[in-house]
Amino acid sequence: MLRYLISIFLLTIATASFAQKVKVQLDTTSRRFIPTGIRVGADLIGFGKTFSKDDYKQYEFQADIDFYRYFLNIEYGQMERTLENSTSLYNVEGSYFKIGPDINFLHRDPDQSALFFGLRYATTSFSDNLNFSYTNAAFGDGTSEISNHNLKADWFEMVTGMKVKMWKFIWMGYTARFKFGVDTFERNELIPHEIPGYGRADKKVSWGFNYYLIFRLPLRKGPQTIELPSPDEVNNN
Amino acid sequence: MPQLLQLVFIQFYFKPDLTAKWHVVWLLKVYDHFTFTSCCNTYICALFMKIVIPILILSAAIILTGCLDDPDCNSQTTNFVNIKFYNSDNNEADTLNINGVIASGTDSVFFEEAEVSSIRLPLRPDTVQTTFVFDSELGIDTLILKYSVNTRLVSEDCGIEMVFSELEYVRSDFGSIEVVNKILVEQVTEDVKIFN
Repeated sequence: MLRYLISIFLLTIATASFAQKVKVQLDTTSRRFIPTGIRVGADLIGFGKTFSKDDYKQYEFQADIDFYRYFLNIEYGQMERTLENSTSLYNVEGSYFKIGPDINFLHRDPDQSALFFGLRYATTSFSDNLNFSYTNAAFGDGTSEISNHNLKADWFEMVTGMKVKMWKFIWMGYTARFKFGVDTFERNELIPHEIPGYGRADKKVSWGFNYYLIFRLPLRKGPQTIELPSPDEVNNN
Repeated sequence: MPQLLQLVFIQFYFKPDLTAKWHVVWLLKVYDHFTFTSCCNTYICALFMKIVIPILILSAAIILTGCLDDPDCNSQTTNFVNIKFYNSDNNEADTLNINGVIASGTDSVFFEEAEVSSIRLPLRPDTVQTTFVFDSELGIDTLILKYSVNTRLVSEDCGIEMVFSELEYVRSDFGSIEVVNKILVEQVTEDVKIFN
């Protein structure tokens, strides 16, 4: 399946013809560090999982504000999850907060679309609980309940992704995340299975992906744009 | 898939400009192509593609994140502690004539009469301390082992895993004792050395 997707992908690139007119944003020096707008987004993957899976709830929101080609991002999310099998019942719930800068490589795009690379510092506070029964040949079977209350964890993320204007104030964007530097709580009586916002707690590094529906609230008019003539026009003259 | 993504990140780290260009060529222009050029000519069609492509990406992402969640079930942890006997004079492996070993809190006898060089005993999962009473050629000896039990849920399919760690002794009536391995796993065949 993946192989077909890749070949379709390559084929479309090979047959693409880019004969569009190019719009460029003028690089003004005055007032360029004054923010032009705030983008507020909701993570669709989290909502999708909440909707499609039982025992899974995740809500995640992000907001960013631009300073020329840099963004300041904040993200907030909540999750709750129950995992169950014949001998155990695990429940985790918590909220997380992430903050960090982005650098935009497409800052002269007339639509103010963004291709960004950034860093995040993330922190979470969560509680989890495990009810389980075990079998032991020598000492007999038993059941037990253990829990962690208000554990705090923090980690760092390297992120990259895009935010693209769809229609007027509606934007969409994705963010891929490489998460590292988390405490895995190996010494706790209950070792957490999942850390909200991070993923499986037994992994030293973790990957994440978000797809956002974003609304942009403009604060001021963006920089002026000009339209460059296409190569054909230049050659004809 | 993660390895592929890692390559992207390494490239980003060393050559951000080049990667940005690469990113743009492979994603933005493909996106533009789908939405504006040869495949669609009408405004309605372009708008439709703008909706379809995000939905495709979204569903692919949900499927992928689901697949990457698969854990492996082979748990290596155990609640059995391996004890080996040594001669305290020359530090060489030794054997011991054992009449029986019992643990407090249970009636089961772990070993019947035997001459052994090593012994494998289970630790109690419901407490953090297990008391063993050895009835051997040396007389009645008590050994109290202390440890911590860490429990984790591996996954819904695999169930839970108990990790016995920070093994140490509280009391030993033997000549001398040394804990050589603090975390109990299947592969390790020697956790405690007893010198007589």
